[in-house]
Amino acid sequence: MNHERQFAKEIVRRLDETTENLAPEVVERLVEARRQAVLRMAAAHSQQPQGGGLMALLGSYFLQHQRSLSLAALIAAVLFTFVVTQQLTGHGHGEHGDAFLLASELPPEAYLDPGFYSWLKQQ
Amino acid sequence: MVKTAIAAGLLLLAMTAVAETESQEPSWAQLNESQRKVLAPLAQEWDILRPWQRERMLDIARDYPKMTPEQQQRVQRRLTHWSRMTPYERENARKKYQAYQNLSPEKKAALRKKWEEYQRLPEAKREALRRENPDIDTGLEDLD
Repeated sequence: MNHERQFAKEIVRRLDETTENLAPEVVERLVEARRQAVLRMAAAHSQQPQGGGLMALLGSYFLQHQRSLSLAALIAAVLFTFVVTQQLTGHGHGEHGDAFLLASELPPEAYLDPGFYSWLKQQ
Repeated sequence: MVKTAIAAGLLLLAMTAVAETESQEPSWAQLNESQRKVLAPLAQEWDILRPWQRERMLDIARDYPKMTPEQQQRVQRRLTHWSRMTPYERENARKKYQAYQNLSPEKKAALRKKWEEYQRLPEAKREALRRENPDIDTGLEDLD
């Protein structure tokens, strides 16, 4: 591992040395080539078709509004949790609410009459 | 960002608390027509009910339309008695109702039959049975 790193460093050092000693006309040609490449890339970006670029468009929109979108997602999560909690506790009694107890075939008195339980045990 | 989310959550809770406080304490005159129709047996005593009792009763009014006509009649018949029970009795009834709900259909039917038979016993006999077992904490689950 160390040997590989050393080897890479050596390559970088030699490349740097070579770059420093490039002839001015070579440097000029490289600069021009780079400029052309950048121009071509910029042109390709601006000519990207609308449909194909939808994802890229959404991606760039997300990157630009990352902070506010994350906040919106967080608030949505808080709201969702709140609604679910309300349903599961509080008012969300479902078929177990007092209304269903009162509507049960057995009246509430049956649940509370100790004599009924004594009698059941005797049966 | 986290602080903003926490603030938003707290605001939401505060808004809910305010809304609940307002909805828990409506006077009889503030109830809508369908609530008044369901809670009619309590009309005379509504304004002296505690806020939490009113909330429970409003829950009943909310669930009422989901019921069959037969169930609705039962609710109407039992509502006044229910509202006059102590919180302890109501809580006990809720627990036992849950236990009843967990019974098999056969056991439920048997229990209903037993209740009808028990109702036909002379009052003196029922009173004697009550004295035998003054503890109403006995649960239906004990009878399985």
